[in-house]
Amino acid sequence: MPIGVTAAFLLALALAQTPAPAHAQVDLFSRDTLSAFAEARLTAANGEKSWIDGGQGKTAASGAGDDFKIRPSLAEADIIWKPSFGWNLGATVVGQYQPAQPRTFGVGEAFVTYRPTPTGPLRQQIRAGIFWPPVSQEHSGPTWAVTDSITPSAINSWIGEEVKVAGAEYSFNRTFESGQELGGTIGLFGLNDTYATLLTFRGWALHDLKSTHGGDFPLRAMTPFMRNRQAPLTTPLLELDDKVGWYARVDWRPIGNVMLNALYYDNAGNPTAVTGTVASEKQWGWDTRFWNVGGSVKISDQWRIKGQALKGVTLMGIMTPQIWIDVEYQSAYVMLSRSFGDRVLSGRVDYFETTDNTWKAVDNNAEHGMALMAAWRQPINAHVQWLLEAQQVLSTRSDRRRSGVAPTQNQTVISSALRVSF
Amino acid sequence: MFARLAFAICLLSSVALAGASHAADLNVTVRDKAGKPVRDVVVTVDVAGAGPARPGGTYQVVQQQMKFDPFILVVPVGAEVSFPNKDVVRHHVYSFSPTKAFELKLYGREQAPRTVKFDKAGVVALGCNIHDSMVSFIKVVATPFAGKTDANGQVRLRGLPAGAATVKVWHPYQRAVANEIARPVTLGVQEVALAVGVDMRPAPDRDRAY
Repeated sequence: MPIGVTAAFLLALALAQTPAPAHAQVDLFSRDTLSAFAEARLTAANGEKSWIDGGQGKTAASGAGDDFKIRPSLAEADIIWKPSFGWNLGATVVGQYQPAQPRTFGVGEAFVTYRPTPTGPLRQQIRAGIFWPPVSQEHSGPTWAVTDSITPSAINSWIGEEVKVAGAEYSFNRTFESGQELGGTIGLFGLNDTYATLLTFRGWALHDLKSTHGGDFPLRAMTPFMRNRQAPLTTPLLELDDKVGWYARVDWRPIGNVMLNALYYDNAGNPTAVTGTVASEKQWGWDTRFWNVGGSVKISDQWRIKGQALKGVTLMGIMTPQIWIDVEYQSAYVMLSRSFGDRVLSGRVDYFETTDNTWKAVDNNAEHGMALMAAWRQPINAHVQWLLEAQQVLSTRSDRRRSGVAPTQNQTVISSALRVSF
Repeated sequence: MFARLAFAICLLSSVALAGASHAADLNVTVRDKAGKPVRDVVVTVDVAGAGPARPGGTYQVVQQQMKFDPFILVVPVGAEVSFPNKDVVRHHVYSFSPTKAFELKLYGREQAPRTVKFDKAGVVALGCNIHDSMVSFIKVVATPFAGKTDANGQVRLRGLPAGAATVKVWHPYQRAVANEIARPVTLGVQEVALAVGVDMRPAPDRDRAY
């Protein structure tokens, strides 16, 4: 761990020894405001080289062909600061250390939250800053950790890596006498113009690497057609056209154990906006829109099923005569979970696909695939959780031929993780 | 003649007093439409002249593992309930219920638990303004004969006086006016077993990311 990160952890621990002032309205650095999280992992993977290591593999683990490659790693270490500036005004700032990323340390989420105390069945919240929009049904908590598995679905892997917003959001939720609940959210955001660069040039992926403010992801497998136009990396939080994106979401609980939601997202990007003067520095604006629908049903005290489906389109570049990028993308997953007390066994089926509508002869970004996942989550004590996950990813992408790899690839990844929080 | 009449009156009076002085237990079993036992159902019996419940005792609703514990708390009118926070995060407990509207502003595990006095009978729904998934209920009762069902759907109310009475059965997710139904019961000197069927709607699933 770098010295700076270690120092930050030590500072957090030192500050956390300070008790909170009694009945304090403002609490900046008491032990109640600071916490930490770390995840150590042991991974065994076969198959192709990972996209994060320069290959076209769909997971964050690089295999060794038919042989399994075993790798211990520190997946993530976070410091969470949650000060309060008033009874109803607080903030969340998360410093995230992710050694697998090119830029290992950055800010995960950083936002202020205003929640007036309810005086009736209506609950409201305003938040502003950098945060993930409310799409994922698999992540929770300030570190945006995957709840019941190690690896999120393809949809929520993409949300984690590219669909973070810098903006403001209003949400409400109302409970009715019948037990029904209705909620709504509307958000406006910037720093939003490169969304779907990874999704297009790499395709869908399944991993838990999360974008940080100022961080970027490599695009090492781009075609020569795009290498002359786009930098070999993408910065997920980047503003190029000064246009404001927006999203709106509706939540409905028709009966207690059933939850449904739908979200529409449009970054209102200008596909010809660009930064950089030479190809190796250029990043473009992407006009990215999608629908996401989700739902969950608590079948019984032990069984729960949930799922999401996402479908969208992204446009980028200049009309010559076709626009450089016109890609449609869709994905869906269903996850079934069975709890045994505080332990949870989950199984997930994932499907993903992209359709490339332009320049396929020189820049084919079409693909399709599926993934199967089984995970076991077991708390060891109040501060430690153990997870075991097996994942099989089968995908077909014609563009792999350029790298001398068969278009259809199959990869098995087995991971064990210890999550520690205090 | 007068002496015989007086004896009869004395006998009837002593029988009546003897009946009133005999106490019996009421054993209530609550099941849903599928026949499964329902836990956390509050069962109360109003008895004329029984007087209000005594507010003595220690009552608390703990905030632990991002939940309120217990989910249902039954307390007599006048009880003081403490709300200790045993989580590593702060909570902001509130209720907007007419029975007792209150707010315990942000506090953590290192701070002394806050207490609230519940001085009116009724239902108090609790929430946390930081964590929407946290929900529980306090049922404030004016009778000494009250309890809630266990995991087997059973509750035993002890020492009830003989006679006709009304048993009230309440649960926040029961499909009924004010989430409550009533059943008549005749209590004697022997234990009475009462089986009650309830129509439950699914409990809200609060374990969600968004």
